[in-house]
Amino acid sequence: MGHKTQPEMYTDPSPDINLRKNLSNIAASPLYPTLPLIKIQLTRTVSERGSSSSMGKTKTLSVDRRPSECVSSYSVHKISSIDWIPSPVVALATSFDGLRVAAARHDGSLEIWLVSPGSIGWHCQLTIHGNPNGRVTSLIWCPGGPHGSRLFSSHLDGSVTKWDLFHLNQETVLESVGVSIWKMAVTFPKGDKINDERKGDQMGNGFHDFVEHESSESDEDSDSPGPHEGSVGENPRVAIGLDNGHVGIYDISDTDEFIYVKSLPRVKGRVLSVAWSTDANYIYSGSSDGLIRCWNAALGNEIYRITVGLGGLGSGHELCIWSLLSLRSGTLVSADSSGSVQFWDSQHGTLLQTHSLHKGHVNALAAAPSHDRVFSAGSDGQVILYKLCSSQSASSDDNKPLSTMKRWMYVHCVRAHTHDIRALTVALPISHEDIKAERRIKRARREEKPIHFSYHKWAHLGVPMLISAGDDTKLFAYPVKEFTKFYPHDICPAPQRTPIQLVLSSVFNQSKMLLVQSSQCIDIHLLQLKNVRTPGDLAKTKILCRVKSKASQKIICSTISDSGALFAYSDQEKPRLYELESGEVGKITCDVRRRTLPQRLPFAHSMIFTHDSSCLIVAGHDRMIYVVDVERSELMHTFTPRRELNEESSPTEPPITRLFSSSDGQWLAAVNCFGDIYVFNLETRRNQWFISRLDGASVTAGGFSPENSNVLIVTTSSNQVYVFDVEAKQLGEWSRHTSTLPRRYQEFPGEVIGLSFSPSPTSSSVVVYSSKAMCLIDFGLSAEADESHNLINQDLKANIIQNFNTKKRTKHNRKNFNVVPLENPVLFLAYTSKNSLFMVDKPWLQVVKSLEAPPVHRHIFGT
Amino acid sequence: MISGGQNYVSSAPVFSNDAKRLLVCTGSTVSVFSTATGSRVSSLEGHSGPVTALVVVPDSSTLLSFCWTASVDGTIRHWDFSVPECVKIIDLHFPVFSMVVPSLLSPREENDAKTRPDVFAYVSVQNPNAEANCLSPRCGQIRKCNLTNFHAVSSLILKETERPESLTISPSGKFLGIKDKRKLHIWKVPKVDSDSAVSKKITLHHSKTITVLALHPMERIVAAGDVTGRILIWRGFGAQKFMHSGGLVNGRSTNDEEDKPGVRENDDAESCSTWHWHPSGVRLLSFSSDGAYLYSGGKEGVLVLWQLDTGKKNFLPRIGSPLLYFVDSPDPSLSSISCADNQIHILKMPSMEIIRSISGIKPCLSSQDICEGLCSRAAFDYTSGLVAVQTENYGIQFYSLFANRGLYEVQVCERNHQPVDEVTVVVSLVELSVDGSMMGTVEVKLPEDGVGGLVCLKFWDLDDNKRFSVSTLIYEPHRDAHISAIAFNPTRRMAVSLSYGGDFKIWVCKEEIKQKGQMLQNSGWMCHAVGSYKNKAMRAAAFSADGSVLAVAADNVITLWDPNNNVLVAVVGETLMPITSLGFAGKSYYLVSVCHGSKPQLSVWSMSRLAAFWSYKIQIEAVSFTIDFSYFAVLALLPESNEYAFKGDGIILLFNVTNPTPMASWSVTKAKGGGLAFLKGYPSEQLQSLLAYINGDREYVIFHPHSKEAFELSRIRQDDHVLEETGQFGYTSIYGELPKFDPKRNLTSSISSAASERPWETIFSGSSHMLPPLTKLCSEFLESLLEKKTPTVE
Repeated sequence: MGHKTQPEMYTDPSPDINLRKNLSNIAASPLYPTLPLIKIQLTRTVSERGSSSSMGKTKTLSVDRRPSECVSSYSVHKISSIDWIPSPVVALATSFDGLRVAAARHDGSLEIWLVSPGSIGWHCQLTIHGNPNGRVTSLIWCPGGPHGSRLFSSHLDGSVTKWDLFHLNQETVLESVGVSIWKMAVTFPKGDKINDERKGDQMGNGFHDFVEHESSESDEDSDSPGPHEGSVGENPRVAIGLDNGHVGIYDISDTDEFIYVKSLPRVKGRVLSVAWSTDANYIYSGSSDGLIRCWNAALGNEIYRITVGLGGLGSGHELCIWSLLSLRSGTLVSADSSGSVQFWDSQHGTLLQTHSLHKGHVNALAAAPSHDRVFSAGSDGQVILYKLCSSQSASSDDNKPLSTMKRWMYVHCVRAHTHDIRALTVALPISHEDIKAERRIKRARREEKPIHFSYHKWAHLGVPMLISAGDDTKLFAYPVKEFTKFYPHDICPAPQRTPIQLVLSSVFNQSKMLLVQSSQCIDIHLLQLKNVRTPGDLAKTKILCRVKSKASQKIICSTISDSGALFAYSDQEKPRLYELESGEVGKITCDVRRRTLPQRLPFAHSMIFTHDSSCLIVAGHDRMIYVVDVERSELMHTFTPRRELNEESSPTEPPITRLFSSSDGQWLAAVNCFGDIYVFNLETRRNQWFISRLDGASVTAGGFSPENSNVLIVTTSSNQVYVFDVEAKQLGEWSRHTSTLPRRYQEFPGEVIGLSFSPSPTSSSVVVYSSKAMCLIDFGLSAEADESHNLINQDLKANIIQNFNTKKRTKHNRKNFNVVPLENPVLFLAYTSKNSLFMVDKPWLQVVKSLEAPPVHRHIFGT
Repeated sequence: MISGGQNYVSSAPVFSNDAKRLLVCTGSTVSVFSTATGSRVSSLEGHSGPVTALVVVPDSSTLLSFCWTASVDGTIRHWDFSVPECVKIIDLHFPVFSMVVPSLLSPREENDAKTRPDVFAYVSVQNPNAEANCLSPRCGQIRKCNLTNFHAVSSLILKETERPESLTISPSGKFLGIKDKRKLHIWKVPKVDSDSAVSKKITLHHSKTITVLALHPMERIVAAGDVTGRILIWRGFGAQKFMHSGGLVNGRSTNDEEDKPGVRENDDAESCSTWHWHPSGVRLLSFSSDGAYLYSGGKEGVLVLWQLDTGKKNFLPRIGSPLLYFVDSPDPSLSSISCADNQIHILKMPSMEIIRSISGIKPCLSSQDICEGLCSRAAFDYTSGLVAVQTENYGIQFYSLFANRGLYEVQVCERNHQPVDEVTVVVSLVELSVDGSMMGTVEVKLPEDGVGGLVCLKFWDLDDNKRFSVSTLIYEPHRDAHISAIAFNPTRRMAVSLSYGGDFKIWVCKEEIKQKGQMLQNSGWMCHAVGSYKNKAMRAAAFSADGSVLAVAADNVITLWDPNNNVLVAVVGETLMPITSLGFAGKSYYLVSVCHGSKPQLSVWSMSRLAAFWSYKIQIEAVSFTIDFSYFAVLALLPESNEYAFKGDGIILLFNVTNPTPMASWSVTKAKGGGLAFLKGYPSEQLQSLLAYINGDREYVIFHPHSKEAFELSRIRQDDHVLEETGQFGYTSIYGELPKFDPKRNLTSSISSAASERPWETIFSGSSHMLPPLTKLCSEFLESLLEKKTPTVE
């Protein structure tokens, strides 16, 4: 269906005249000299709530390499006092294709992390704010369902919920029976290669009877995806470890119901960990009394039990088996509270090896896809790699057959986390693809995406990565194969960043205002930026008002109008609108008045005011976009995001998570979390354009250019920047002339989290920032790619010319795409005037101090 | 001539096959020690250069006792060390720094015994030609040589290194390796070795300089320690290179390069894991003989035992000195560690306790430069032939010069010594009285940041066990001034201490004061008198032989005092430089003074005339006086320019005070920091005393100064009781001695039991288990009832 819309973008070769004219004007303007150097002045801004130590230091962050030439200096105002308390990660799970990692946080929210094709950085694709009281204990992905895979979580209150990654909500699929669930385990996907060496050797008849019995129920599932041969139609089966000592076994139907199958006999203590054998014939359960039991999954009888602590490490009754891992080779790995990781022969239940290298509880285990490496992590913050080594005795002669013995060897430990590690998982994200010609073809020939949103079509066999997360709220990625060689990658430098919005000139005396959205309240700050050219003159923030959400509901999104007089937020119930009232002249009183919104408005994933503050645009969770007249409090129009422009139907697209509106009030761009862009004309109230996801990457930031409302600039998670002309429905001139962005931008540290346009009407530059760095992009200049990338995809003659030109330009265009690394995790960054930037950041150490969990005590040698 | 004081830890010792002997490289000889007693049994003499490598020929019968030695003199010798005699000499013409003989270690097949293959040794030699080739000074070479049938060193050079590296061989004899800066090279020894057989080599890389390596006895595992204290363990090295030759391809595909965690640069190993415990460089690494454990040690002086599978550690702490070598013995209950303080400790193995120590003379303090000017030389005991040297751990070692072994140590200050710690306390002075019954020590606590310095003077007395114990402790005897010298009165229990602060104190033992009354148990030293001369710094003092005159050098004049009354008697002459050493030449009226500095001087003063008698301008390192005669000996340092004329850098001159012409002279080496002493000769020999010279490395010789040629002193005069080998082996070591089986005992007991007329009165007395068996009692009892027939005379 998208075959018609999509080629439009590229088949129309005629350039957009407006955009070209506009851009060329800017480039030729004498007011805009080329700025080969940027000198950035950092001015720390003291807020009233901030620490007094942050006196107005003026730091010069010099990025210039040629100091003799003209220096344009940006002054940067900094605020470090904004509250930012991220929540610990409690569970991780990788989808079957290995591309996506789900991370559940302590506050009930869920994040999906993935690597966009063509990039190396991880990207938080979507966040679902779940029930803040239901503490997640484990996460599982199941095959099946309308999108190929489903995500379930078990909770401490005993319920099991399904996370709908399409509608961004959470549904309870198994009601609580009042007993906590500690662990949930699903049978191995059949698509995986399973060594069925043991099949039938012990179990025999019972199992086969069982299979026949089950197949009658699951006949209707024959359309479920999966390349498996023998056992098509078998539902994934889940074992649930309960606090009361039961292990419940459920089938997950295609309608996401949990069908009770049976319950294993109750044992003393709590079942803390469960694992399936790879052939799904056995269940291993580890409990709080230090026993591992092996159950026949079909008959429900106990086959053997292992007393873990018998070797003298911790007495049995208080030893907790926190994690179990069953390997294809038939080895069972257990992790317990005494800090030891033990390898067992699962056929006989005998101990193979013990490693007691952790100095605390071992919380999590993970195996490499090849199942010859096992990682363990625990409350000491270490991740330890064990490898299956075949040790051949050298004493035997070369001619004789070697007596090979396989053993698990400790290889290496890495300590990246400052706090306890709670969860580990191994993912196979899309590997970094070098920017080759092959990739360009992909972009040019991009067709309509299938509705299910996985990126596996772009992924060739990737590098397995280990992801660890825990109480320090960060996620770290380690290469599984080169674990010893590289330091782990911090894929989440600013977890659960506090959303911040800046109003440059409010109706209140043109003062600058700041909207800070915490998890349960909205703060409006008055920002007082004094003239930073005179050092010592401090700028301040002053809290104007704080609106707490009703019944401590979690706030999903918020917005403030450009006038500063209106702001709105949405919790999980409905959106709410407030008005700030100015009391005396020249002073702003903290009067907040609730304004009514039309009934029936669903809660929103994103909200925005139009530039004249007359309309509030709400992207509801029912996947419609509502335009509300604020003054009259009535619904003006409802947009339905659609791919086909002139098709009227119920909403089928995923919910909108980002909205951008143009300054002339004509355009509205809505972006869903998978990167599709829908453009609406607010004046004609029609769908204008649909831009399918670019390169398969999500949109990370975007905005309409202030001086030309037809120009939409978006950045994607694969670190690309696109300029669109929405009126002409085509790629903007800059994007069409820019084949590849410079390498230094493609390797931009961290995911782009925002962009800000220069308020100066003559400037066409945009500042793009991630939590680690910022980058200035001047769209008046062409992106000058690295030499190695210029030689791509042009035919030879054009190539030579192009190359020649580029080289010429290179000489005076060094400054474009200059990446400036930033010291502390950045929460927000925006232009305040032509030459000054405003930045909200916070040193990570301060964030760590505010975390609830204490950091891991590290003994320093010699103390 | 007796020589001794050799360095026991220049290279690793080796156990004999029965683990009863420990062979130790001691300079150019090999000393054979008994592991049961720790005493020297014999020595292998013949090499002319330091012995660098020792290989005992292993033998299952443990009867044969052959060994190979290699030396810097370029020869390899084959010895029977039980006899001991040299069996064979091979001259390589290259200085050998390390040698291993792989074929000795690999088990020989029985049927091959007749056609015994040639024995090949791998040697690490220094290439003398490399000196000329300045561009690439790689003078170390690894070569092969045929020991059975030697013609010349194989021209095949396995590897060239910058300096000769020591070779490490796996206990199975299959692999040998060297470290080369940041790399390890490992060769697989060819099965059939010949001069030209090329062995395959692999190289393992690391990012730090490797200090030591060890090869696993069974598996293909190599461990290496680096300068930062990390231990790296490569498992499965050489899977591709070594194993493919046998037609056996390892199951792992060769192009799976990523599947080697921790292995750098595509090295041929399966995995590499790292352990880090040692805070500084690893000095010793050794696998246990079963391959389950790894021993490691370093500068901090802790032997660490790692379980190879799990990485768990066990420690042997408080060894007190950097560790150098760990050697396993064929007896699983014995092993040895060599420490940098010249001690070899024999460990009882599973428990890792030190059961015996072979203690050489302790080396000079490594921290000499820190406490420059604070450390005195060794003190000699004239009568018993002991030398007292300071040790690193704030103690004093008493070393018997005649027996060439350490007798005991006393701890001067009770402090734990960790080799890695900073030096805060120094024992700066040790002085023994002439009869060896008194000792004075001075310890200095170094000030930290200029505060907290403390000087302590201690007097020690011999106790009943002939060991010194503290009798008196005096804090800051000269306020905060450092003590420059102590001198004992040869006739009385009197001593003098001098300070740089310009005063001296005469100390007497309290015991002597109250001599008239009963002997006091608590004897102590107290200050008898204080004197000073023009507030000049005092550096040397001496009592006359009869103890009636005290000569104190006050800067550059000599003052003579009556020590009993503390009266200044006379002032003698003036030297150009401050006098640093003084002494009366025997019982003569001559005083000898020594000055150092820019104008060194050796002067003899006549006491009768109170004037200089004669003097030399000569740099004196040490001076020693006979007790009875008017001889004295000086150790003079030769100026640089004169060095070519003599072999060494020092010269010992023997003078008669009356004659400025030296009576005899000997050229010595390593004279800097050396010492000189006359020792009492034994009555069985000539009455003349012996002269002992100890050099800067604390090696010593004892010789007769008056004999024309330094004739051999017989070594049998080791009056110290030689420990008998009381070790128990085999059955007795487990169950103890069996009671002696005496076949005659039954006979005698039966005879004795028949004697009593009325046995029932005594026969049942005593505890039940002592009673003779019932059968015996019964017969005796019945017999006693019988009427004895008197023997008739025939």
